[in-house]
Amino acid sequence: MTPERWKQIDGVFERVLELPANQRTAALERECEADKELLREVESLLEAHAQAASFIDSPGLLLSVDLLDWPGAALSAGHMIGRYRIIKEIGRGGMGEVYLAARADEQFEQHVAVKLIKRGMDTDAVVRHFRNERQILAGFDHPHIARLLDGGTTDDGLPYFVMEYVEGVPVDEYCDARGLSITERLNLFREVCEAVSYAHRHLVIHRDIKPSNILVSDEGVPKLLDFGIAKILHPGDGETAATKTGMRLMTPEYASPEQAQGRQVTTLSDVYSLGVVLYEVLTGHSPYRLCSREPHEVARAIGEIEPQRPSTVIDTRDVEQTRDDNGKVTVPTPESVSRTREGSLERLRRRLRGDLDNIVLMAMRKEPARRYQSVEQFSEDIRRHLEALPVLARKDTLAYRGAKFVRRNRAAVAAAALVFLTLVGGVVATTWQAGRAKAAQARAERRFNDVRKLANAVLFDYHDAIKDLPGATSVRERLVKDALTYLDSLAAEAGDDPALQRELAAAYDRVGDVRGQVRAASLGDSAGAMGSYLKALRIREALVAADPRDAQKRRDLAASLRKVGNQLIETSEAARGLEYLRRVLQIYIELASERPEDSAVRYELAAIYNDLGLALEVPGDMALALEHHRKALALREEFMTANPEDRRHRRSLSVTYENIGRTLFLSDDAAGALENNQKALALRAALSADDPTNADYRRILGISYQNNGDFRAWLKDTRSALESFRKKLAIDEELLAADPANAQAVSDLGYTSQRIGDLLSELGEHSQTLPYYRRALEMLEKISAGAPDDLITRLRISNARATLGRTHAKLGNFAPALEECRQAITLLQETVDDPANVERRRLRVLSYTYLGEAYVTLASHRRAPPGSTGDHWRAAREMYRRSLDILQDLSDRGILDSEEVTEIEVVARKIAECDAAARKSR
Amino acid sequence: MTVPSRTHITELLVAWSGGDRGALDRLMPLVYNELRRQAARHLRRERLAHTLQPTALVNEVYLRLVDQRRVSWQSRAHFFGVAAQLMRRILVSHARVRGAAKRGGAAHRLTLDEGVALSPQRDVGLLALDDALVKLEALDPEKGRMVELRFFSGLSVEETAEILGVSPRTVDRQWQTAKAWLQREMTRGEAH
Repeated sequence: MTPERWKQIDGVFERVLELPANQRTAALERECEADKELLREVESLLEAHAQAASFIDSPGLLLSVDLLDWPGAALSAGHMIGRYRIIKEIGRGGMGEVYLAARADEQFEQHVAVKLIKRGMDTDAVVRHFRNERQILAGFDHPHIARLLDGGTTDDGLPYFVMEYVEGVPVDEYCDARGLSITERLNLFREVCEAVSYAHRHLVIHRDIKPSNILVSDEGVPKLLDFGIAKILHPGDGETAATKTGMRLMTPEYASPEQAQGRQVTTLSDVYSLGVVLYEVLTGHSPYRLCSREPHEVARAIGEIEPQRPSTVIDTRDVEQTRDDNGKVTVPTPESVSRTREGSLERLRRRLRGDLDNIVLMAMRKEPARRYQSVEQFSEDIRRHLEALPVLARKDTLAYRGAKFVRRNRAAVAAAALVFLTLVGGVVATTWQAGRAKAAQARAERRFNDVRKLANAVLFDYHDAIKDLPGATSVRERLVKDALTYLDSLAAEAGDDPALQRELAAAYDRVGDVRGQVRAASLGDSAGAMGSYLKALRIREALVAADPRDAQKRRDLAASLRKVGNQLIETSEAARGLEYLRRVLQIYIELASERPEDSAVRYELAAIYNDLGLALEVPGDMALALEHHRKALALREEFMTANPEDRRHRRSLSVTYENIGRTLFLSDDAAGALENNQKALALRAALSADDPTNADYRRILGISYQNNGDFRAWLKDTRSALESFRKKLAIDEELLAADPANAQAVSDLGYTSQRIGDLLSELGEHSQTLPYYRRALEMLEKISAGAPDDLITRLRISNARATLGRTHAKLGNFAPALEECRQAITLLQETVDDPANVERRRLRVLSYTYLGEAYVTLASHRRAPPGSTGDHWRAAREMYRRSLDILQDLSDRGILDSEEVTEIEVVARKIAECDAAARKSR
Repeated sequence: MTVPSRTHITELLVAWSGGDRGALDRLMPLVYNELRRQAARHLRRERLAHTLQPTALVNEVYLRLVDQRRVSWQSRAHFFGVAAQLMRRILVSHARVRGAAKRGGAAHRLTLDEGVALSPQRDVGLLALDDALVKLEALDPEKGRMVELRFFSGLSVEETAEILGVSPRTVDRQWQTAKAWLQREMTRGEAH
């Protein structure tokens, strides 16, 4: 089309668009007269205008982010809802808004809270939840639960209700602001328990207990709020009726393991959440430091990490940030938590140790059956403690945990547990003897050294021996922690003996690694790990301060800084992480200038440039990242020239080429990306040729092929991409054959196979895709067999089956297509659809959409058996409908991105097509 | 790296508005970096802050980089024109990174030196829009610029009108046409 022609079309379009819809056709015909093509152009534009995706209307930047929590237009002051005049907005959730209001016809202003559904959020499901909350509140009459006063429907037809307005602050803030003692806090907490217990007696589970839902008034009266996702238990609800968490994502920090994992929620889940609230109120710390909000990560953390005892968590400082609902960040320190509670840290520790540790942790046990069996029992135990009576709660014994661990990991653990128990026993006996023998100086000294040696052996040798056993992580943590306890006390005795201090720093690093080193098997407690790393760092800083010229100590310090920096970057604190890495760089630049001949120092210098380059990619500063990668490149090329045969240098140079390639790709320089990746590839191919059995060289060569494939695929050079992925596949196959237990190889192979299938399918080579899709399925099934509770993998399997079903359908293989689809559907039905788990729901949408496509293909296939097409259209419709239901729900909750929102229209259109076709085929 | 001085950037802007094409070449990377930095900051903060306003973002960058006492309104319009183009580049390459990560699933698995794994992020539908916009620009550059300002820079109808030197009503009308055209183009893209 020429610009001139376009001007003509544009002109007609603009004129016609200005007219009322019913006059457009006539005007259009008048305007176009004999020019049929002009008519068609304008008509299609009018049609497009009617459907124009609304996303263009919102600025592009907004599409680049999650739209969750994007505020809609709020009601302004003075607006009337029924007889209530809005004063201001006081709260807002995913679907509702709460306003402070006053009754218009009252002589003196009585303040109330009006809750109503957000405009545009009034889908059936939301309205149902809303009415549910209103019904629950209507049945309640309790001094510690906000009262329902009135309700109705707005002029727009949205339901609303009016509650008692609670003027107060969240319970944790209240306690801190007033500086309440532990006893006062416990008494207040017991009042909260009364409210929850009252709800339970009325067969209602709250399901979202957290400090911001417990407000305390100036007079010190607590009120429980927000039954928005509460659940009414019906007498028929037995063991089998899984209560799923409601519409809104519940607050992960307070979710019980069963809630987080989408299992049955009972009154004991509220006991758990109350336990978390009490934990925070007593200690000022959150029991978990969640480093991710991804639902399955949260579920895993909550299900696996044992919270630290309240009496010890109060010692932590520095990086454990807690974030309140408003995103305000507070950093609890030992001083701050003890000042607002018992005055001194020591007094607070004594107050918490024993009973309160046990009570709080009993409420928070992972298995509901081992918690307090009611809120009343929980509250009663607190009363017994307050009256100095013996409490019900017992320490979760080591023996119990050991037993649990063995149950969970029968096969692998026997040896490890044995080593562990013997060791701990041994260490304890030795220390005990050491204490008794204090009088005899020589013997005591020998004992001292024995313990030191043993603690180090436990930490390094024994720990390393069991490190790779499956399921060993929690034993590792105990081992390392216990060893550390002994080293700690030794260090206290030994004063500032630098050698011992160095050992201690190394020990803290170890503990950090076990607790949550990123990119390695760990307990996933990355903030806890950070605490340990920082302790190590502090010791090393002191060592360097005492002896600033010592190169080894400075290198140790640099290693510590680097660990902290990388950990911060991994936990999305890139900016702070970068500061640490820059300090490392500074140290190495100094060391390198002091000793220009020291190649080890220069080697490290290159490595830190590399680290910094990678770190800078995270915030997207590609130019600066590239600059650093190039600095690393200069050094590494120099090493290569000096030692052309040295494999270590060749490998690290290849890494730098890879990094430069990726950085260029991300800066839109595809040619440069390909060129650098090619250099990495050549180096790796040569390394691999020199040392053909080296698995690492094969693996990184595979990564280069994969990058090449990704770049080519992006450039739409599908055939070259395919060729690269085939080479990657050969390597994956070979690595898996060499080590069939290698989980990374299994997942790599599955992924590569699927990519090849997709690329072939893009080329229309459907018959060739089958073996690849089958291989991908096989690998997923292997992963699933090793982790049967991993629902994500099971949903990926259903995706893989749906893909196979779709492919068979395209090839006209009716029986296999139907069989794959059937299996995919069965899998989908077997995995609980937890509305709170967004990632899993996305996978469901994908599966149902693939299935819909498969059935459509079957129905419209030219060789479709007569009489079957109607069924296929209906099946397709059903699949699309299920997809649409989930999409709609996600959209209602504001979770979808723009592309997915447009998907709603696409799927809706498909349903209409299926309906039309089904009618025709009848 | 230091942030280039305001005086320097202002001079470049003034020189470019005065017809010096070379000044633009030097200006672009500076503005690009600042926009990118601010965009990244906004994207990171987005979960905490409940107010993300793209207009504010471009304005913020303008205020940071340019000494307003020394530039005319034409220069301001020029600046926003450039900023819109650059925002487009930033967002599109951002979407591309996300897209690559999403398509790849496990892609961008990089070799560990002491490496850091990139976490896959979510994709957006910007890329299709960008493709369509390239075609619209060829046909109707004026509407192309308008879409850049409205969509990529997040400017309001009034702000866009001011910068293009037309009435808000014209912007509104052209916006309807551009939207329809892009929608049609993007749907066609799907069908192929």
